[in-house]
Amino acid sequence: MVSWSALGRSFGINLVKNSLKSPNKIQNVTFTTAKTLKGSHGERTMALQPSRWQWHKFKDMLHFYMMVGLIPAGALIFYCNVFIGPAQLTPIPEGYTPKYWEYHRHPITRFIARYIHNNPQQDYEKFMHFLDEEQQRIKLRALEKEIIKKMAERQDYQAYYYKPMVNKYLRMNKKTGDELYNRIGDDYKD
Amino acid sequence: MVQDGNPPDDNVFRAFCNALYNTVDAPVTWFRETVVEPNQKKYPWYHQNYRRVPTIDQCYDDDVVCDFEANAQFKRDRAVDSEILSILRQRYEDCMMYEQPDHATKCRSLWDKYKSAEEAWFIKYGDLGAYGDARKAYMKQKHRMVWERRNGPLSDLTK
Repeated sequence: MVSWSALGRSFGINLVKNSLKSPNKIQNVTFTTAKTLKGSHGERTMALQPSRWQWHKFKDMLHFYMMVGLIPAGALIFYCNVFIGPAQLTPIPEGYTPKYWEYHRHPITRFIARYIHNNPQQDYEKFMHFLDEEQQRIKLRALEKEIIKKMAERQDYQAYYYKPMVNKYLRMNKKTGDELYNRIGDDYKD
Repeated sequence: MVQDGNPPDDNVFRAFCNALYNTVDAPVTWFRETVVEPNQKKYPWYHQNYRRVPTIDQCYDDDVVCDFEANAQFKRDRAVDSEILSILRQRYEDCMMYEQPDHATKCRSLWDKYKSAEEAWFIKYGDLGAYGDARKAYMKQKHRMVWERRNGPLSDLTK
């Protein structure tokens, strides 16, 4: 059973009164709330139902934008598979080192490997160089730590007490201190 | 199916099944043989040959680069060994499918070969966990050999 809200009640009651399962003709157009089939040569019916325009528009847009992507992609994939085709597996000829994209079978994979990705051997060797450089840094830092620990332990090296200083900042601080003394004097509480 | 050369096959049921299959298969095969195959280009691709590099037991313990390369080689070797095991398993399974229900006797040699290969795979690569690398496999071997020295051999493959 339909539950009528207060606002729609009069409308609902009118619908029931007009008993719309039997057609209701106004100016030669039949109004009905029954489900209508979209046949061409029946009676001209207008279906009194909530608008399905948003649903139809959504489907339109969905199909359109899907096809905008699918049709070019499908055409490209069809061309690659039919007119170029996948490669044949062959043993490596003597004295020939294949290029790094020739290790893939499908033409699109080969294209991506050749023009988009880097040479895997180059990446491998670059990464190993990076590892080696970081390893040298680790060794240097470990050695420094070890030296400072030993100096602290044995207390036999003057450099343990040496604090590196930059005279430029010392001069600036001295100048500031002298100006303050000239202004304020040495009248201060400890 | 069985290769019948000259005598025509007058088995109605088989003909019916073939007809059903061909409703889908024949147009597809026709398209492939008349449109696709003539237009495809023929060009090669290769399987990469990786050089052998020093294994983890030949690396200094603070040599990160050697460790990285040994690890990469270990992963490649594990992939190859897994594929070999897969092929042996497929051979046994094909034999089993064909020889049901006497597969236990007819496929025995394939089964034995597969089982010993599986045991060898597990001795080398098994139970290393998700982050198993060359170093962990090497340590596993060391622990196994120590255990075997104390308690005797674990299996025929490790004698």
